[in-house]
Amino acid sequence: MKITCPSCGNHKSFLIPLWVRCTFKFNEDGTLSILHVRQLESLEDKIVDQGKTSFAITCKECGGDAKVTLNEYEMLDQEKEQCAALEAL
Amino acid sequence: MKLLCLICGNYMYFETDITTVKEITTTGGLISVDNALFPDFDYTEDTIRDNLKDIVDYVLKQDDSSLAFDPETETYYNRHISCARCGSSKVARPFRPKPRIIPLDRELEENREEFNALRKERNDENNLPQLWQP
Repeated sequence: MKITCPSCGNHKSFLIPLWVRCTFKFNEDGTLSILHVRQLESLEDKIVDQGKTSFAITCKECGGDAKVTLNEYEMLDQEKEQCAALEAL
Repeated sequence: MKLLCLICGNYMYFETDITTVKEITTTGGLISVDNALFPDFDYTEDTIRDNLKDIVDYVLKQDDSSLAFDPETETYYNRHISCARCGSSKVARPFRPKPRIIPLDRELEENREEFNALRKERNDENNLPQLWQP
């Protein structure tokens, strides 16, 4: 798997929005204390669904939409298959 | 007491769903997920705290619009916050009768002298003696 930013070429750091369930309490002085934070979404699903949903992975450097390549060797395999088919012919 | 669960009477512990932002780092073909750190602040922690404060302030201010009617049970439930003890969404601001307030005319009359003093103070400030003249 490879994640890249087509805009700036960054391939290291990206931001992903996530829904979490937050348990909190009201303190005596009116402030809030967070007791627990539980993740509600699967990160794997969000990464795989990149490009299909509006809540996309964005580049940390420039804020642009990131591009996720699940199998970066797919194109290489296709080229090899095409070469083998041509050689066979 | 700011919020009250109408089922169990809890007024301290509640739950709400908010969005946050995590950072994905890819190094050597491995993907790790961690808090989004910038040089001077933790973006993940800030979004959690800010979004929680926003949703609580919204529910406290717009109590009526945060409630939705459930036609099956014919009761109202809170769309944003639920009770952390019993899990019920029947969470609302406790009813408080409005304190008796005096009519505005009487309040203005009572504060007239104070207002005049304030106005005079401002006039004096605007008419300071001119110490130097070109």
